[in-house]
Amino acid sequence: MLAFVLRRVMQSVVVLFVMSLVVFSMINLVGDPVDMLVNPESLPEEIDRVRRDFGLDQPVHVQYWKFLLGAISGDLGKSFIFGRPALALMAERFPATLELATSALVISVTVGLPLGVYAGLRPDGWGTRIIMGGSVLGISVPTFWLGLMMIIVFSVVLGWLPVSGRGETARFLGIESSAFTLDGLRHLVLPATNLALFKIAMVIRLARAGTVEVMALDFIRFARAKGLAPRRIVLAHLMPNILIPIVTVLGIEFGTLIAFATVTESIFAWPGLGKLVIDAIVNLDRPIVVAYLLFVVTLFLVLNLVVDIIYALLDPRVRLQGDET
Amino acid sequence: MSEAKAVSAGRPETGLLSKFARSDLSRPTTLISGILLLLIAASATFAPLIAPTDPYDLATVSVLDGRLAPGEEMLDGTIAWLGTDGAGRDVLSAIIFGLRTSLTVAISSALIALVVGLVVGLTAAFYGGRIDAFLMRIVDIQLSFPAILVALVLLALLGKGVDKVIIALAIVQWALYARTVRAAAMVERRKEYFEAAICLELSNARIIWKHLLPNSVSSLIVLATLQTAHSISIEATLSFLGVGVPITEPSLGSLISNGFDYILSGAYWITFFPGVMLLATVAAINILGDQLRAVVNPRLSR
Amino acid sequence: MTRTDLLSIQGLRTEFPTPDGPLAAVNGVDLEIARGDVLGIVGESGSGKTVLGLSIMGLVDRPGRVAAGRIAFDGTDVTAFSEAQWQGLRGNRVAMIFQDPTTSLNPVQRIGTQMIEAIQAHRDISSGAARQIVREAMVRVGINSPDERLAAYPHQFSGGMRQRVVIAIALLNEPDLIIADEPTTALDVTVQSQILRDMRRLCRDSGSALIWISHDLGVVAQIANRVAVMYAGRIVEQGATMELLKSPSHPYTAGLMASMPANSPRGQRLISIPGGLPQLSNMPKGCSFAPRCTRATEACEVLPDLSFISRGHGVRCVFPLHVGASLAERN
Repeated sequence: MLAFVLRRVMQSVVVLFVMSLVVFSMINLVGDPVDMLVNPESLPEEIDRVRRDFGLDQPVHVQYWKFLLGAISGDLGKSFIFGRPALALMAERFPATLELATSALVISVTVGLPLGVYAGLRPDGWGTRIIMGGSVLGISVPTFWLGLMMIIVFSVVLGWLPVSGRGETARFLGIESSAFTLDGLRHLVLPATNLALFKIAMVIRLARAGTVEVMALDFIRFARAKGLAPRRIVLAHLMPNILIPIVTVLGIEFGTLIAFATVTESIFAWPGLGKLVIDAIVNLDRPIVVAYLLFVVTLFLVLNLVVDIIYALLDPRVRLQGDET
Repeated sequence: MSEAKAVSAGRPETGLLSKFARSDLSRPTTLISGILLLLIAASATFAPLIAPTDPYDLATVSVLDGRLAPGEEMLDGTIAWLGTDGAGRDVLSAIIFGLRTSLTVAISSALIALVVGLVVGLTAAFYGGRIDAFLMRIVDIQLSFPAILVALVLLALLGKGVDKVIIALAIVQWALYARTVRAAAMVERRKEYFEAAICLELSNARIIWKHLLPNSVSSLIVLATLQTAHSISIEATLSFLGVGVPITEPSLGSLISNGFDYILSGAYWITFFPGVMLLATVAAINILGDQLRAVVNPRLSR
Repeated sequence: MTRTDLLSIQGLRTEFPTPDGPLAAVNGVDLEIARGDVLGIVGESGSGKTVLGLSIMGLVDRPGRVAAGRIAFDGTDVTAFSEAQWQGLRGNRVAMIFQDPTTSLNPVQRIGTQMIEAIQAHRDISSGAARQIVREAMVRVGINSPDERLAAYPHQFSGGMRQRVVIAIALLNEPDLIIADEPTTALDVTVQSQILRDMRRLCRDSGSALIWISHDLGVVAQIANRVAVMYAGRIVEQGATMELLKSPSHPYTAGLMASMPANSPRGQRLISIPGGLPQLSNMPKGCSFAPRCTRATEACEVLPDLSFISRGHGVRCVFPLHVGASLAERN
């Protein structure tokens, strides 16, 4: 077991290293960031000074080596735009993204699970057709466009909810979150729902498939033979059995939520990591892009690693198989 | 996304087309989707002939026509059925031309990814062993990251441009094709005649071409269909974020992005209609793709 | 039917719709069970005996349904029961035990929870009181140190232990009738005979009637005082166990008996009835056993009525074997 974990950790480190190399070399193939940093009419001396300040005058491999040493000690360079350490900027923005992604996760489960279970219990009902049709649509509709439509309906036409930004935050149990103030919640609802949409369709499908599968099992029939009410059968016998796989998949998919947050944050001007990186991409703010990339790669590697380890703990037979999710 | 990956080994016993024809084509949703898709493809192909105005001809576009509501008349007497945008371009014409860009990008990237995936997948399946393990490891790693993220990063590195978007989308997709082709080819590899072919010392190219490739075709067609819908969606998202196609060659995504600025002033039509077109296209392809998959592999259909 | 009958079934027909029209898995079954009776139902797999049991419980899975007939439980017709009325009946007055003990219990719930909920579904008592009843039930079915066992999960139990738990659950509310669908088939022989003995004792103690469904005539002979033989959805013969075993009248019953290992001469191959059950979608017109029967003639193309050979011994056959007929006469 320990050998398995060590091997997977080593693999992850190698992937991370290769990624950093790829990113760094590719980023040096495109555009000169100095053009972005200085006024085109600046004097050549001025340009050279900026180039030296950011260490851009040195050979590429030296730059990479310095970057790698820095990265190991937690220094991913300074943002060209903000003039501050990239890692500090990201740390500042991360809580907002985490809050958004978590809220979206909660919404997708609270909405998707009941709908999916319903569809599984009544496979031929009208409600089921509507739910499943909706989930096909949910997968087809580009979420960013739905986000815009939500703004039009709820903010512009009805005027119920604010268009953009993050509202007031408050501290509760040591967690700073906008979920603890009314203003914060009002700001959170639209972006979180928008981010949740794609996952809702997924949860519905998973819950439906699980329900159909579990309801056909003997212990459900036995529970009915005991004279239990349908409510009790669903809550005490069906739910615990379908939740295990759903939670596992959602765990793996949490990284995807963080990634998709880039789109949602751009629509709703949510001050999180995603907005930071999109702005950085548009402004060619290299250190931020690189830092974000390494952060996301690390996040995914860690999530995959954790899931693999849990699987291996539960079932040794999975140990040697590839990741088929 | 996960469903598309689930399409692995499907082998039609007879021709795919004849099976499709015999399947439940009378289902109204399938029929409507098919007709819709034909219309969309036709209008994209013949955009200059169909569009009421040329939205990129600076000589005819006038700012004075800006933000006309749907159904209002423009200065030159043409009626803007879907309204006009801030610069006075007819939204309907812009959509027809935008569709062209969107479809070009999606289809070209799907084709490139298909070819690359085919080569990689067949190589892995044919040689097996270490080559297979190595290639599939790369595939696994790439597929563990969401497509939108990979595309975003690639475009951050490559810069803007239709060609860049096509390359980025091809890089995003090849791994899925490779995995599918390999899975289908592996099924064939395990059969006895494959060993017979090796023993007969047929050339490698011949074995791959004659035996491994045909078995992959049906699942590839299904995958390519669903992936085209997916990449239309990704391209639109990228363009919306401002890292996709340049403003000079707008796709549906950039049209939506363009209208974003006018949402608060109530000019909803500039984002709404391109979005509806995007939704219709993606949904039509998805429905047909699902039907196609049900034909190819009934076990996987929902 | 007499007034003392606990369960009385008349003309029961349970159908499953298919694209080619409904198929009847149970077709015109009549049965009576008195209080304290032990009835064995014997048949091959696919003969409809499980569906019969499920019909009595109101547990036929949709789209299957009870299409015709009457099931009277203690004088009340239950076929028109609402779901809520069924809930009051199931597990309370009629309990059912299924074939596979490894799958009858929810893998992610503690044994104790699964037992206590069965009591609380029918009685308004505290968890503490329910726990006490559960503890006693565990001891009754031979599970020692119940407290420890109640906190365990099903996978920590052996197959035999799990079936004992299931039996304990069935007995919790002292039902009038227990339907046991091959509850020992999945267990090894020693455990099987133990459970068989326990089951007989438990039912006698509580005064519950028992329907024991099995494909094994030998097992049924050990426990039942009456036997019904099912073939292709119909009861082809029924009667008191001793009489039926001594003088089987239906050729199918005779065939079943001949194929029992105990009845075969040592060192010879087991006798088996040639052929298999007819497809439900392709049933013979008259007697459904006719295609496999050595005595069949054209007369068998009409469905025979149930005729009584002696009191309580009925057979559905045009050419029943003579009362007291030995196997030798058949050849």
